[in-house]
Amino acid sequence: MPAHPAESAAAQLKRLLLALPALADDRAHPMDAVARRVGCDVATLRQDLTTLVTRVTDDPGGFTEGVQLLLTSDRVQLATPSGHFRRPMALTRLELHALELGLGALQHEAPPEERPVMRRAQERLRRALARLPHEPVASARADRYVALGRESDVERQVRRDLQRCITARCVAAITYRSARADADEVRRVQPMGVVWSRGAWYLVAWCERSEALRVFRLDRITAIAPAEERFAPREDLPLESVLRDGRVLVGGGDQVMRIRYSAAIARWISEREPVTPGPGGSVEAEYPLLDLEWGVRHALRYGADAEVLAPAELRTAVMERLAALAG
Amino acid sequence: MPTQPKLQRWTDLLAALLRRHSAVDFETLRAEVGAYAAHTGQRSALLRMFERDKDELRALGVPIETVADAEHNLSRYRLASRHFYLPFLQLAYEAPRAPGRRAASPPARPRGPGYQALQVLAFEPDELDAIARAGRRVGALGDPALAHEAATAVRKLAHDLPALLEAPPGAEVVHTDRAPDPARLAALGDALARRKTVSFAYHSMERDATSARHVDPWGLAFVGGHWYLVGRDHDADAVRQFRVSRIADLAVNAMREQSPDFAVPAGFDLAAHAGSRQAWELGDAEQHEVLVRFSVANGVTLPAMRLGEPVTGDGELRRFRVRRAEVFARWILGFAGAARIEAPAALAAQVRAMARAALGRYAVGAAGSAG
Repeated sequence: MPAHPAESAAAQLKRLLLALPALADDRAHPMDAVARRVGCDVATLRQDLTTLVTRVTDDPGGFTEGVQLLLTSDRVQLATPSGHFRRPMALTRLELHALELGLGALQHEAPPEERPVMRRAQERLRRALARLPHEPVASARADRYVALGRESDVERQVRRDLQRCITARCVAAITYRSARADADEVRRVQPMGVVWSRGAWYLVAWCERSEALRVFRLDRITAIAPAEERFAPREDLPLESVLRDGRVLVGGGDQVMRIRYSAAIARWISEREPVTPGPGGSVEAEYPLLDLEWGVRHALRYGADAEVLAPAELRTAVMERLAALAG
Repeated sequence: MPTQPKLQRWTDLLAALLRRHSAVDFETLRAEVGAYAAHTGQRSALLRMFERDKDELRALGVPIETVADAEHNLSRYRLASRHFYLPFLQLAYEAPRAPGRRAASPPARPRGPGYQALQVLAFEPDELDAIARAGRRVGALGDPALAHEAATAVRKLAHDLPALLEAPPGAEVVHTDRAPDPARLAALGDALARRKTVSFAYHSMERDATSARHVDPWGLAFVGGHWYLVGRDHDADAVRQFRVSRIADLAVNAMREQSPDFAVPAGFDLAAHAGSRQAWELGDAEQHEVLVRFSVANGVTLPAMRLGEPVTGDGELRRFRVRRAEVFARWILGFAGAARIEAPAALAAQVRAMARAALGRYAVGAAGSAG
C-alpha cells in the first residue's frame, strides 16, 4: 500500500531531523554509520537528503539556500550555512509515552528500592519533551498498559541480581531447585541473559559444571551470589537460540511427545500450537520430550481432554499417576 | 508547473520560524518559504496550504505557537528553539564508574541560531540503563507503532548519549506467541488516540462462536504475553476485554473523522482492569476459599507455594480464593499428586473425578491410539 503523501513527508522529516544533527560538523561521514543512527537503510537516507536539497523550480531557496550536499558511493557531507537542525528535535508526546510505558512496565516488575530510578528517568525524560511554554506535560499514557505477568518478591529480587551479573558479565552462584529435587543445589554459571516466554522468565547461562548452555526457570532460583570472576561474552550463542517454537528448550534427544486434545479444547490449543487434525474434531500436537515427569504434568493439566499417544512409556506413566489420583 | 515536495516546504517553514526569537506574521514567513513565495494561485488556497502545514507539523509534535498581535488577532507564529530542540544531554559524571567521580564538562554547543538557550539535562548511569531497557521492552511487544516511537526516542537521546545504543544487546529477550497483525494493532491505536468507535468480528473461545461487536476502545493492554483491547461493548453496555489476536474484520468509524465518538470515564483505570490475574480468579462467579496442601517442595511446587496466602502454623498449606472451580481443579491435577485439595471436600472429589474420567479415556483409546 503506498504511503499517504503527508505520512511519507512526515516520515522523511522525522528521519532528517535525526540525520542532520549527525552531519552538523560539516565533515564527511560514512553513509552507513549515519543511516544506522537514523534507523533506516542507506538508500532511504540518500533519497531523503536528495529530496531535501533538490529544488525543482527557481523559488527562493528557503532552508537549503547555500546548503552543500556531497554524496559519494559511501560517504555524505552536508554544509548548512544557516546552522539550523544541528540538534535533534525534542521528544514528541508519543515518543515520551512509548518510553514511559516501558519504564512503567519495568517499575511494575522492579523491587521497591529500584523503582525510584525509573521514576527519576521518567522525570528527566519529561524535561526533554517538545511542548509549548505553558502546555502541561501529560501524565503517563493512560490508554496503554504493559505487564508481562505476576512475579513474587523473591523472583523480582532474583531477576534484579541476575541483571547486574549479566551487565557486569560476572560469574554467579545460583541456588536452584529443579523440578525433581526437593532440596536446593548451588551451581556456578555464566549468566548470559534472561528470556521471557509463555508466562515465565528463564535464565540462559553457561553452566560450568555441565560445560554447556543451560536454561533455568527464574521462579525456581531462590538466591544469586555474584562471584569475583568475569567471563567473556559468547557471540556464538545468541539468547534466541534457546527458543524452539516459542518454547525455551536446550539440549535433549530425539524423543517426541504426541498428545491428542479433545474437540472441547481444540480451539485453545490450535491458537498457540501447530496442530494436526485428529478424529472427531480433536487435534494432535507434538513436543520435544526432555523429561518424562514434565510430560506427565503437562498431560494431567488437561484432565480427560488430553491423551498421550506417544511415547508408550509416557502413556503408561500418565495412566499410573491417574490411577493413584483417582483413588 | 512542478511543485516543491512537502518536505522542503516544511523544512523552510521550520527554519523561517526558528530563525527568530519573536513571533512573525504570515507575510514574513511567505518570503522565506519557497513554495509560498512562488505561489501564484488564489490567496485563500495559499492560506489553506499554510494552515494545513502548521496542523501537520503540530501533529508531528512541533510546538508552533500562535500569538496575538497588537489588535488581539491571532495572526503571528513562533517556534522557540528551546521548545523545539532536544536539550543537551550528558552523564552526570565523567567516567561514572571510576573512583573520585568528576562532574561532567559543559556540552559543546553547535554554531547556529537558538542553541545557546538550550538547557542541559544530566542523567545518572542507572537512569540511562533503565531508559535503554524500557526502549527495548516496548520494542519487543509486537506493536510496530509503539516500537517505532520508542526507537526514535532512544535514537534522539543517543545523539548525546551513544551508550544508549551500546547497551549489551540481547541481555533480555521477550518472546510473544502469535503476535497480532501489526496493522490491526496500529488501527486500534489510532482509534484509541482519536476516540473512535470500532467494529469487528470476535471469536469467543468460551462459546466457540463469532459475533459482531461494536466497542468504544478505552485502552490497549499487553498482559501475560497477549494484547487485549479494553473498552465499552455497546451490545453488553459493559466494559469488556478482547484478545486482539481473536479480532477480525476490524473497522474504525469513518464518520466525522476529527471528532471523538466517546469520552473515557474519568475514573477508568486500565491497569486495574487488565492487571494480571490467575485463570481461576477471573470472571464474576462467587469466590470460594480453597485449602491446598503441597506435600513436596520441589522446583515445580515451590513457585506455586508463593501464590495464595499462608495458613498460620502449617507451612505446607496455602489458602486460595477461587472463582472458577474447574480451572483450579485442573491446575491441581497438573501437580500429579504433589498438591492436594484439603477443603472443600467437594472440590477434592472433583479432582478425583477428573482423574477417573481421564483414566477412562485411556481405557477406551488404548487399542488404537498408542504408538
